[in-house]
Amino acid sequence: MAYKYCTATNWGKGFFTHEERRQFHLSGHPGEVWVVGDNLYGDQWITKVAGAIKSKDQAQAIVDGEIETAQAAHDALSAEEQNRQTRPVKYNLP
Amino acid sequence: MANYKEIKGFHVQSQSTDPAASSMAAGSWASGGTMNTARKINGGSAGSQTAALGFGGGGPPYIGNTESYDGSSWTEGSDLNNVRRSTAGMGTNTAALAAGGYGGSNSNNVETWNGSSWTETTEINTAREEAGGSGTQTAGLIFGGNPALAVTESWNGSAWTEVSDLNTGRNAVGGTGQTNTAAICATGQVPGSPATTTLTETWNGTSWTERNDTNTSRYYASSMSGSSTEALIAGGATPGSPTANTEWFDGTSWTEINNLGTARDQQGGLKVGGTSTAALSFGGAEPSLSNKTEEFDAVTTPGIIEGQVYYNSSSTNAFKVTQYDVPGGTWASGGALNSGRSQNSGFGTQTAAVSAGGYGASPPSPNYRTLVEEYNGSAWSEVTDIPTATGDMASGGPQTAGFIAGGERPGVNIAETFEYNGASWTEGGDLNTARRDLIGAGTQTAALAALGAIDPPFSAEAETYNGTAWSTVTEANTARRSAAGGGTSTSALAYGGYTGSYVKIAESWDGSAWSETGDLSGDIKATLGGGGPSNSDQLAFGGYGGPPGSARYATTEHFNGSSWTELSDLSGARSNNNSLPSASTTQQLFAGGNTPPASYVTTTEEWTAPLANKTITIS
Repeated sequence: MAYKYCTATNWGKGFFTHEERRQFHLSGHPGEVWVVGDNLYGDQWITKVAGAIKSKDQAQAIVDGEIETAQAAHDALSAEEQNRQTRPVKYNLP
Repeated sequence: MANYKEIKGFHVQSQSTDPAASSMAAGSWASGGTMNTARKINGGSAGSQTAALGFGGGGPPYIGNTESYDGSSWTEGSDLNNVRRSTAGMGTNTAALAAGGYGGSNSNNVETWNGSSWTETTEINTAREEAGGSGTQTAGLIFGGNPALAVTESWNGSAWTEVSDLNTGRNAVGGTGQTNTAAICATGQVPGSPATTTLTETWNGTSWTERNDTNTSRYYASSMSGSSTEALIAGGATPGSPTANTEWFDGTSWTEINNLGTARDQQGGLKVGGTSTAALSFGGAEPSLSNKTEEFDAVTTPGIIEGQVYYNSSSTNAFKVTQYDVPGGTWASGGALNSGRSQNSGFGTQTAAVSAGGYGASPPSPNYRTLVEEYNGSAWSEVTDIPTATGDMASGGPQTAGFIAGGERPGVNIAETFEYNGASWTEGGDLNTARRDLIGAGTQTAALAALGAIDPPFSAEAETYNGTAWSTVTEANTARRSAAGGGTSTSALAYGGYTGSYVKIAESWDGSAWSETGDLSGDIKATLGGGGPSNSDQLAFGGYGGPPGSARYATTEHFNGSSWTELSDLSGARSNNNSLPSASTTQQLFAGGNTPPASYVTTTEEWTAPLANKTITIS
C-alpha cells in the first residue's frame, strides 16, 4: 500500500472521523506525524487538516527525535521509576 | 445504453461501506475532544462515552487533575486530594471511585467523586498501582496491580474485602466491568520474559476463570471498556513500543478489529455505562504524554453474505465480491473424541461429521476399533459401530450418506465397503483389490478409491463406485500408500504418501486419467489429513514424514489448481487422524491421531476460513 506522510496538529473532535477511517489508512505517530493512505480521500483529509507534507525520511526523523526525547526523559527518572516503566524504543514507519 | 439490470435482470447494490461479519468489525475510532492536560492516566477513569471522567496521572510529576467529558470536550474539575497516577477507576462521571495508585510509593488511598469534589474513604487492604477496576462507587472491584499482584478486593460502599485471587498475578492490566460481580481482566505485565501477556480472566463474583487469550500480547492497555461478556481492549504496549491494536471480546474469544488512530499506552477508558460498541480511549503515552481522545463506535452494516457482489461507492470506488478467504483460515480447538484413536476415517462436514473405526489403546490392548462417533460442530457422540474393527480405510460422502472402503484388520488388508445412512451400516460391493492406507473421494453413489498398500508392493490402482460395484479405472502414476486426497469421483487430488520413502507428489484425477501437478510445497510427508471439493481446491494438513522420516508436522497447505501455499499451522503436530475428504477447504476437521509420546489422542481441531470482501479484477 502506498502512503503519504504529513504533520498536522490533532485539534480534537472532527480531526478524523469514522467515515474517514473507513475511506483510507490513517495512523498517528509521535511528533504529530500522520501516515495517510495514498488515495483521493487521503488527499482530501490532508487538505482538511492543513497537513504539511513530509518525505518518509523527514517523517521518520521527526518520530525518531520524539522518541529520543522520551528516551532522555526516561533516563532522567529515578532508578525506581525506571524499573516501573519501559524505555521507549525506535521503530520504522510503514 | 443498456444498464446492468437490463442485461442480467438484477441490480448490483451500491454500498457506502463494505459488508462486515459484525458491527464491531466495521467499527472504527474517530478523534474526540482534546484533554486539557496531557498525561499517562493509566486506568484512572470512569463513566461512558458521552459522560466520562479522567483523574490523576503523571510521568512523574504526578498530578491530581480531574476532567469530565461530555462527548465533545473536556472540562476541568476538582483535583484528587492525594496526587497520584495509575489509580483503579470505577463508577460514573458523577459517582466515581479512585482506588490505589502511585505517588512516589504504592498507595492504598481511596477517594469518592460526587460530581464536583473528591472525598477520602476506606482504604484498600493492599496498596498498589496499575490495578484493574470494575463496578460502581458502591459495588466495586480492584484486581491485580504492581508488583504482579493477584489480590482481588471487593467494595460494598463501606468496606473492602479480600476475595479470590486472579489465577495469574499481574500489573498494568486491562480491566473493566459493570459490577463487582462480573469483570474482565486481560493482558498485563507478568514476571519474567516476555513481560507482556495475552492472558484473559473473567470474574463471576466468586472466582476468576481463564478464558481465551488476546491475539496481541501487551501491557498498559488500560483503556478497556465493556463487561465480562463483551469488551474492547485498545492500545497498550509491547515493551517500549505503544500499539494501536484493538481487539473485541465476544464472551468467548478475541477478534482483531480496526486500530486506534494513534498508538498509545496507559490511556483512560470506560467503566459503568461503557460498552464495547461505544468506547473511549484518552490520554496516555505515544511515548510523549498525550492529550488525545478517540471514540470507538460500532456501526450497523449490511450483513456479509458469500457471493454478494456490490459496488463500494465511498472507500475504494470498486466492484467487490464477498468470498471465503482460504489463506486467511485458522485452526481452532473443537470437541474431543470420546475415545482417542488414530487411523480413523472421516466423512461429512465440519458441523456434521463421522469418525469411523481406527486404532486405539483399548480394549484390552492396542488394536483396531469398531467405534463410530458423530460430530455436531461442538461435541462427538457415539453411534452405531461398524460391523468389524477396521482402520486406515478410504472414506467420503456426507454424514447421512457416507462410505468407508478397504482398510486393515490385524494383519489383513480388506476389500469390503460399508455405507452409512446416519443410523446404521450396510455392506456394499467389495473393492476389486483389497488394500489399506488408500484415499477416498466422492459420495456413496459416485466414489473414488485409489492408491494404498497391498503388502508388497504399494498400489497405484484406482477404482470408482456407482453405489453397487467398484470398477477398475486408470492407475495413478506413482504407487504409494498413506497419501491424502479428496474431491469427487471425477475431480480428485492425491498428495504426499510413502513409496519406500516419503514423497511430495500430487496427482490430479479428471475422471479418466491421472496427471502429475504441483508437489506439496512444504514437508515431505505421509499419513496426513486432507480434503476439498475438487482437484483444484484441496487442503493438506499434519502428517508424518521426513527425511529422514522421524517427524510429525503441524503444517497446513492449500492447493489452488496449480501450486500449494502454506497457511496457518495446526496447534500441534499430528499424524494418522481423520479428515473430511469431500468437505470444503473453508471448513475442515482433524480428529484424533498420534502426537508421540501421546498416541491415540482425542484432540479435534476445526479449520475455518473467514469471509472477505475482494475487489473484482479483470485480467
